Amino acid sequence: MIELTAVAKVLLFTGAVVAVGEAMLPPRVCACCRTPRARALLRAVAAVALLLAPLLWLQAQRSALELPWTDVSALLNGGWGRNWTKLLTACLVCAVALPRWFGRFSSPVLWAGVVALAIAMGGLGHANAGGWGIAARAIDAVHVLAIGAWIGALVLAMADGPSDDIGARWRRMSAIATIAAPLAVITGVMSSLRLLGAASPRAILTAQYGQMLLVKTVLVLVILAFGAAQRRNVHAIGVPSSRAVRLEVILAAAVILLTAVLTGSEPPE
Amino acid sequence: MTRFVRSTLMRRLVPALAIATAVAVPMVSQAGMLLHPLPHLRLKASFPARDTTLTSAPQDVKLWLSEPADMATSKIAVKNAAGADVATAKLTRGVRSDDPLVAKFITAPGDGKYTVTWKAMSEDGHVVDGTYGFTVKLAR
Repeated sequence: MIELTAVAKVLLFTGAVVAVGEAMLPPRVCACCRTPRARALLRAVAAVALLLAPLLWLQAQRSALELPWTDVSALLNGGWGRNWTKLLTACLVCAVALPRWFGRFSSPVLWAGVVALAIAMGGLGHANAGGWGIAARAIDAVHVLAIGAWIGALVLAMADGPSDDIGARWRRMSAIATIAAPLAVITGVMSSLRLLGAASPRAILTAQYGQMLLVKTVLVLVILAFGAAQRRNVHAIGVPSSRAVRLEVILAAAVILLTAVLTGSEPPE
Repeated sequence: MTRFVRSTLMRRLVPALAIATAVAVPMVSQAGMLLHPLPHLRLKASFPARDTTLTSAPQDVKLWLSEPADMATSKIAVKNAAGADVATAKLTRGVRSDDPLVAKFITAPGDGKYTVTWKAMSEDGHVVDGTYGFTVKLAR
């Protein structure tokens, strides 16, 4: 049976990736250009995902605790509930700003939303438990922003399709990924170290959490290798291989699915 | 391939990874001093203890958890051998974080087998539950 929390996290991570990507790689702004249909569709899907995710997560938590709806205020008034409310607020801000209804104010609102979202996501996960305190939350937030910038910008650059400035857009995406990808790796390693550093290698490898993390690491390394190869294409001929980009996006989707399950399971002690 | 190695790997990736390592290594070595296992919400001990037989009626059920649980959503339920609920008062806990969760019996249970079912949520939202049994056989 698919866990509702995992579904909520997949929606949340997908929405967050697109929202951060949209903030990092905004659409062209000129009177003659319309937003490409695929980008508009991605924004709409991300906005719906960001609206649904917190509600599904609340339902999953309520169900796990066997709390009737009449007692849900008990859940919302506790530490988890307060963090959930922050997540809901951040999701709402992103979902409202994603369609860019506020004209030139859309970008600052979206930026505020994605930063709040990245911080709020840590409040409901492993970053909120154990040592390191605020540093764990900061590392988690930077990880979310870096992954979103890297994969979100990739997905949106792909969705924009052919245009007059396609070379410039891919170069910008490539520049974003050059900073975001190492940052995502560093913060990912730091989080893993915090969660697993005290466990023995044997305990890590025999635990489901450790095995899933290993698969995630391999997938990320493959994406990194694809990205490095496509970077050469972008600088040589202006565009990457569309086949390789599609493969990168599929692998990134697999990483998101894996992360949704991973964050719901407990690291070995 | 040679061109890829020369252009992308040597000029771009290697410097990027070198910078990433230069940043990460001091942070990781600092972090090494701060490594503690991530706390997992577990039942450390209970009263009545699992599978024990008490010769006097317990006044309450106490659960010692490995980390503080969210009080508002924690639950302790006790059922008798027939599966009927044994009434308990609202859950309480002392002021210290390692104080047990306490469910006081409204009426002290008599002879019989009982099952305790508990559920608690940790700081990071993991919901943990468990069930165990105990027996009351009052000394005559």
